[in-house]
Amino acid sequence: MNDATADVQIDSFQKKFRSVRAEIARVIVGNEEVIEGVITCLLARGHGLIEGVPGTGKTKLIQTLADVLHLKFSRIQFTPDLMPGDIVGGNVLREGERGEKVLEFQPGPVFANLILADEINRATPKTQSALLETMQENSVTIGKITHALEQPVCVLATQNPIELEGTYPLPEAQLDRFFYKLKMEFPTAAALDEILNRTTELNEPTIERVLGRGEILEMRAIARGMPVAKPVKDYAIRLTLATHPENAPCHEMVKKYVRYGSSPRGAQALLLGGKVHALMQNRVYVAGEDIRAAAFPALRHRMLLNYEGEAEQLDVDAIIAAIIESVPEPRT
Amino acid sequence: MKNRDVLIFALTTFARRLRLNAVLCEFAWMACAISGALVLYQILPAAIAAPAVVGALETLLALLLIGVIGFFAMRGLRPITLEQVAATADGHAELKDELKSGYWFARQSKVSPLIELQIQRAALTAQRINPRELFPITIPRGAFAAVGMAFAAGLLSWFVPYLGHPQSPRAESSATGIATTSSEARKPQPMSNRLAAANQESVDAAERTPMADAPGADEAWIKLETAIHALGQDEGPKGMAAAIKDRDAARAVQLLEEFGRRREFAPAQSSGRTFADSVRASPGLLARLQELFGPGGNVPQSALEGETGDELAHALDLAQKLDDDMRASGANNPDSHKLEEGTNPLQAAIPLERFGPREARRSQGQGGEFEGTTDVEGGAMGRRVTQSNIGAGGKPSTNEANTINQFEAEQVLGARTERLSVQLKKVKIEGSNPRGGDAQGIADEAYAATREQQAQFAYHNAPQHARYVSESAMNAERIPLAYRGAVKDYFLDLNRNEK
Repeated sequence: MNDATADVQIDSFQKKFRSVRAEIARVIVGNEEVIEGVITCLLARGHGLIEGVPGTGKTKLIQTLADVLHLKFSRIQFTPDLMPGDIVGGNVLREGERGEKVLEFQPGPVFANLILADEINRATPKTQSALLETMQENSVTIGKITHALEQPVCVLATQNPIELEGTYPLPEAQLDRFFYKLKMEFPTAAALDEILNRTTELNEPTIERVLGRGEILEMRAIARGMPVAKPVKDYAIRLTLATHPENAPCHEMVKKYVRYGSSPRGAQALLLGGKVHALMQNRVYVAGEDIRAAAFPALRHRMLLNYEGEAEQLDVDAIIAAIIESVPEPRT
Repeated sequence: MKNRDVLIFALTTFARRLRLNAVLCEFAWMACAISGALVLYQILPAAIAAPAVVGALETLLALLLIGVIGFFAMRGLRPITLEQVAATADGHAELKDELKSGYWFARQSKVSPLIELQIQRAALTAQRINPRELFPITIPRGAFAAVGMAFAAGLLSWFVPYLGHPQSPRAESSATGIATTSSEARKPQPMSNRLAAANQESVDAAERTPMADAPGADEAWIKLETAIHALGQDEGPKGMAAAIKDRDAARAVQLLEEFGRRREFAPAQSSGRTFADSVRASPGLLARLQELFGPGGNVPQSALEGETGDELAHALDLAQKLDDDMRASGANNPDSHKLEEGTNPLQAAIPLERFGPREARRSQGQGGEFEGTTDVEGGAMGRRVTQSNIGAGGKPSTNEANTINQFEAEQVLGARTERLSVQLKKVKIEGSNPRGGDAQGIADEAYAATREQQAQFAYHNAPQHARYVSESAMNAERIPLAYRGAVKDYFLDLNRNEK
């Protein structure tokens, strides 16, 4: 790949990205940051957790993304009685051609490229944990056999932050495996008007499939191959370290309200998210601005508040904003 | 030319402009520091009297200036790296770290198409930037400050001789030069010419001999000694002669300065007498005044009677006049009082001034067959007042005697202060006779808080105290953060229900 090829690839990446975003925007009104975040999760080999009050279009967004992409899509509705086997699949006893009994693996809904885990916090932690291996290693182990999942694999989960009766908060290990946590905001008046126009008339908007599996894998490779200068990498590291209260130069809010800071996965998410963000901005280098843009969705679910922070009902985003303010971007 | 070279060349061009700007800026601050030091150099002698202090401060100022110049020179000579240049250019042109990242990758040996693409884009961007527009050569703000301070220093060099402190060596010499050319300088001085000439000569001699072991110093000291001997055998010249004998230039200069100050006081006296005459005015009177109004001394009643009273009245008038004159001339300061301690009748003005309003008198009342004594001390101007009524005998003193005592006390004290009249009222105090006797008890009137006042005071304080106690209890209570909202809601609901 020479310079010209790289240039073409970068242009191609941006065109494809824009086309996906534009197709989704035909159905989903507003929430551009969430749309970009979901696409970033897909392109950065990550998984996304979308949080929002009911009716804001979380599930619709993921369904639309699945419609735009030529990918195998499956939906799992998480309920309290859902079992791990219902997700990953299992061996079933079947009668062979000659009448013998054979065990045959019946793949579960995780054997797909795009998995919608709807209302993920309604299932028990045992069932939620069934996704751990899928999300981290992109494989499923049943018995002694490990089944690799076809790339790309992207789990997009939704959860409702206010209806907590009969729900099971996601364990930290599960939360940490989500690349981004995105917040679906309630639409503005203008956006609500547009939603009504699109959804209450005879002709609902139709969308086209614009990207196939191969193109997505190619875009993933481009994003991964983006070079990052050392000072920018250091910036991401310092941001991650600043989320830890035991770190000496951390912000006062972190010391006061944070119990545990971000894991190394947070730093990975910062850098990978920054790379995709830079490509979206038609840049072939990662700037401090890209790292800052990725900081909120990448760190907000990786920072655990302590008792005082919970009691104050503090928004983690406020702490992240304070951290960004306090950590200077390297000049050299 | 490779993209890397193009990028580095462009950054080097930027660096030259940045360097020039930085040097200009540091140079301006350097000039600012020099101008500021000049201003201080002009102000110091005018503001501070002691030449030794001025000298020390000037040395300190010079050292500080050298340090500051060195600091700015170091900053100006500090090299600017191309990384810093790239970062600055990114910031100025809002390039979002493009040049910084590009330069960082240009220095790396790692090569990939994306890295090459980034370096190429950075080089193109750097080429498009006009360094003259991005980094224009500007006059630093420090330059304006330097010009302003240099102007101020120039102005001060003209005005300081007129405004300078009379004790300052430079200001004095300048002022002397100016005074000799003016017509006022030719007016006859009230002080004796001998003293003035000796004083001036000795001051000049002290200034001309900065070091005791300088060539010709001994000759100068001998001349000074002779001049001081010629002044007489007073305390001042004696001290100076001793200082000169010991070759203590600092002490000699100090004594000469004191002489100079005394010389200034002399013309201010309304009687027209010189300082020496004032000192010798009335040795008997002086001794008496010292005895009467020495530090901590109290004036007995006997001191105000007979011939001594006349002398005291005379001294009071004289001291008051002198004090007025000194106040008018601005020479009545603590230093001058200290200098004249023990020799100057002006000192008498201090206890006399205090004596008038604060004088205490003892009044004794004869209460028929009983004896009553009222002592009143202290006085006006908000000072401490103590009052004690001592009753002896079985019956209280008559009202008439009390009224007379009160009247006398009022006369001495003047009008009661506002604070006393507000706080205290005349109340009757009754008590039993400690010695027994035929009387059932004793009674007297005094200024004190009435029972109503005491009750009112307590009533006003009661709610404040109760509030303080309740608030303290509330503040001391530590409700866990998680429950504070619930507790607050609970009490709000209670309050709402009660309403």
